[in-house]
Amino acid sequence: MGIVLTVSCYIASFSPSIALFYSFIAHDPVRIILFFLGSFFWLVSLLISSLAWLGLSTVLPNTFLVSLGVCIVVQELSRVAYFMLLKKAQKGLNKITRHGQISVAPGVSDLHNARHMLALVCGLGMGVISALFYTMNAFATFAGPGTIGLPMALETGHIDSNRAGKYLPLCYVLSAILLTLFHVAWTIMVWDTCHKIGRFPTAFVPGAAAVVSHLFVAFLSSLNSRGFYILVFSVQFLVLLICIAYCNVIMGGTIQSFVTAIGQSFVDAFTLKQIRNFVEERKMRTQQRQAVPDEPMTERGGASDEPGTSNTVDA
Amino acid sequence: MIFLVLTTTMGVVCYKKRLYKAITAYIIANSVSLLLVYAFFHFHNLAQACSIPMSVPSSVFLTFQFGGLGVLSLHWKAHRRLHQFYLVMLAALTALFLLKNLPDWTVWISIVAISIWDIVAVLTPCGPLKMLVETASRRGDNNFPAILYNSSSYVETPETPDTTRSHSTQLTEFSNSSNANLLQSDSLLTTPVLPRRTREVREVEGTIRLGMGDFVFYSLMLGNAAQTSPLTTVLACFLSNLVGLTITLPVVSLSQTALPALPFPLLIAALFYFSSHVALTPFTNLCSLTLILF
Repeated sequence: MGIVLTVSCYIASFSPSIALFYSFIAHDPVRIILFFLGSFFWLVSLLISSLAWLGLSTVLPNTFLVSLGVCIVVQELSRVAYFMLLKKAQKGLNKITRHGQISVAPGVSDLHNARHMLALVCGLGMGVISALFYTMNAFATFAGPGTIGLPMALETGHIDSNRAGKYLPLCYVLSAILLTLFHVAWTIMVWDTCHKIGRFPTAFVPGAAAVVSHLFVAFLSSLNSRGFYILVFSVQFLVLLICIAYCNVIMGGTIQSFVTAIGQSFVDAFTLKQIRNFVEERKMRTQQRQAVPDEPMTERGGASDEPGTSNTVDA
Repeated sequence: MIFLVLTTTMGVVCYKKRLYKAITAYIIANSVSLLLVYAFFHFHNLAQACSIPMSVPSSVFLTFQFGGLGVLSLHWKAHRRLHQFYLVMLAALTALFLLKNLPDWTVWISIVAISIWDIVAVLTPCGPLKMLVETASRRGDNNFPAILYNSSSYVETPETPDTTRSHSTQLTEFSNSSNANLLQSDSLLTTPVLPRRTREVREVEGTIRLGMGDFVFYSLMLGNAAQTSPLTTVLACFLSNLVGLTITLPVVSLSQTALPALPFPLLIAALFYFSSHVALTPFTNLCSLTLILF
């Protein structure tokens, strides 16, 4: 096992985030910076909550679940804080993107049009860093010697089906995937609430749904150690699907369009549509390059600005 | 520490008296020795640790390739990415050398001391770096002779004025020596001091220039964290370094003056390092060992 297991775990657990990163973030430096800032905000929230855990554990005897609740609340607060920071920094972002550099999503100047994209960026930042913190130590020990799940079976003489046993890396990978995608969804929901909270009285619904689902998922996962991990993971993935559908509704789609889009993407993956598109694009580009007529070496007239007549100027 | 002050002042004096050749010779000698000798010993240790037998001719050949390309790309023209890569390599090798030979506490004390020195040297009126900056701008002389990390802006349009300017200002900054505590008798070099560049952070026509000394100390701190603590701490320190730098750079570009780029990111990174030992890692371990999502 060893290093191969570690590398494969990393690839499996971070491939959704890498895919999202390359599609939306990697081409734009401002978004990369916002991504890292999102990670930093999550880190700060973890710092605060772990200090709170440290403080509480000296006072109360059994504080783990309470401090978990505190951690989740602080994470949501840090999301809100990031939103406020971004709102204040709107003018600064305007200045950067108007210099004629690579343009960000067609309206960073107006947080309206791009707020879901920014929410995706921030959520991905938080998701990636939380997944990393969750799994890095475990994956590092996977690289070492030993077989997962062996000692318990040796001791008791049979394989206990309630223990994660040899499926432990899979559990970590699934948890990491869940964490990444959940953070993206929660950020979109919470930012929608923050955006609309002044104007509509029912605007707190998405944010409340995010907090409730976060708490639910976290406390559900505490059942993992008792062995019900299949049940726990399936429920968590179901909740993730519901959250993503809700985000789609927030962004303006409907459940019907969501289902259609999922079906379409399965069909596309099956028919290798993306590869075909890519190949066709390359063909078209080379054809275009060959179709450009060679420029005559003679000078053109001065009035060659008229559109559509540049190819017919007399020598 | 005293070495640092001495060599900084000596360097500024040289610059004022227009002893350019001495400076360039010093820089070239330092970078060559770093790239060749330290790289050789580092890769040798790596090969030993991974149980890869390396014969002498092949290791000499590889070192010569690596070092030769490095010297070429640093002191002469090279592709921008290659230049940046070799600057990063320089900083990393310096930090590795420091880490191997200094005990833990010394590393921390030197980090703190150099942050303070950075603030003093750049901001106070009598600091040598401020004098350097002022004399340079007074003379209208943009060709500082030394090595700076030059990250042109991310615009990819072929702006020839920008690239030629960045070429001419590539060999510009000043090197000083750090490493006050290292004076081993069996040191490999005749001059056991290591190059450290001034830490000017300036923006010229959209390019941001960062001194090499900054990189050395970021690498030093990260290397120290990697040696002594689990990976999560390293990640936290890395991220806080990055974010500290992200906060510092726009401040510099907005105020258009040279600012010390060192203390702020190191401060946040140190904060996260110590708190991670105490609070973050135990809490995270508690959650992840029992597969509880947080």
